[in-house]
Amino acid sequence: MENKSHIEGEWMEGFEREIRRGTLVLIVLILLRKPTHGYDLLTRLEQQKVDMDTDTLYPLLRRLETQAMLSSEWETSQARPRKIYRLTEKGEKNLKHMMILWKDYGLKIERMKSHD
Amino acid sequence: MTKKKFLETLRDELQDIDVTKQEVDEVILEYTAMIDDALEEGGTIDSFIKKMGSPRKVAEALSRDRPKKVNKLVALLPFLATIVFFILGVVWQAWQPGWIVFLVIPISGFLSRKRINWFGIGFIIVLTIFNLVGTFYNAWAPAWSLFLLVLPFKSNDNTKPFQGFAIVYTFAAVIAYQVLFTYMVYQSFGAAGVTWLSLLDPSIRFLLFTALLLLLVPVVFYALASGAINIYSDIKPINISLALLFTLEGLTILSVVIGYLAISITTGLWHPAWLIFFLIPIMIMVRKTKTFPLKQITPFIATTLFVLVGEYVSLPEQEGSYALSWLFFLLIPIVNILFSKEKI
Repeated sequence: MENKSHIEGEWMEGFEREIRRGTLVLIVLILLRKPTHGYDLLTRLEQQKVDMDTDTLYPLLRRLETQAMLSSEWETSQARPRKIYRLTEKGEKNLKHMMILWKDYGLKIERMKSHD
Repeated sequence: MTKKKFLETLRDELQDIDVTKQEVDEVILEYTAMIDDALEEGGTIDSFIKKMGSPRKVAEALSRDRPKKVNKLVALLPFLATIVFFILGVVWQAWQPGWIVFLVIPISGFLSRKRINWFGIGFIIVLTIFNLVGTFYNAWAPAWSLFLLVLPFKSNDNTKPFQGFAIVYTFAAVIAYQVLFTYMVYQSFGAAGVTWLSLLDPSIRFLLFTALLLLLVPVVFYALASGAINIYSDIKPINISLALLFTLEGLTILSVVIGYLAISITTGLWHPAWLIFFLIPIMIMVRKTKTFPLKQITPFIATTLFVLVGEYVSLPEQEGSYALSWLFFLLIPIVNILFSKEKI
């Protein structure tokens, strides 16, 4: 039995990881509707109690930038230069579509649950 | 870890992946800003690493997102090495030390990185010389001391000021050891072939060899202080080199070296007694993973079986069985397939 519960724990962790991976892009895009810099984004994710693997956020920002979902520029007006990320038009469009998908899946699951 | 150290390590790690210098500079600039923000809010570098990952993890994560460049020559080397190994073995019966050709595989790996691992390359060159000298001149001792030449080329913040002296001392000590050892063992009286050493009492002989080893002790101490023989990267650098002796790694390394010398001096089996050194990486891997990482350990097991069976099991009308014992290397892919997490 102990062995089985260990496997279930592992399985659940894997499932949670998959959900986390899938939703982190969505969450980051939502938060970046307000332009911000890397560390501030990290703080906001923490405030929202969003769990993520270490080393995920920065590569994700760079990837989204390469995919033209985000743009960035160095802000030099402050005491220290900071790179500010903002959603691009393409990012905004994709975010809308992702939100529709997200809602749609939520509704489907709710519907299936209520049928049971 | 300090901010400076974090950024230095990050730069080093980034140079190993396929990014432009401009990109490296940009990542460093951005991490500098993020660390400053974290510190300003009362955080520490360690808490920053917990949130954003260690320099190595960051570089690994960034490299995952880019297409991998495959160096065709590097990819072909294992096959080329196998062909050369078979030619050496079948045509000249040189299975041992012919297996040395396989060392081109790790060397190519070290060279193909942007930040060339000269320490690793030096170690493999010495391993090659050690095997050739041992095989052709039966001079496993004092050839083993050549391994020490690599050690002072590693340093850390604490040992850097002494590195120049350490290099000079190591080379002088190793040369002195080799010359004195050779003189003691091989100096003979005329044609009789009687060495002056063989005329001495065994206990005095033992004392002489031990005294000779003392020459090399400072080299080992420097290596312990610099971390050159502390491959376990999670141990934090320490100031007192002696403290390392009391870590499991330090004790294992010392025990293995002492064990190797004891077995080899008493039995004369310098080869294959050197296999005992495999215990060091195996122990480190077990400690690091807190399991028995069979897949990672299999290459060591395969090499041990290859050498022991090749050396001591004789085929009909042949001395040794290297012609067949190479098959033990097939254990590596077999174990990889059997214990792979991927479902087939």
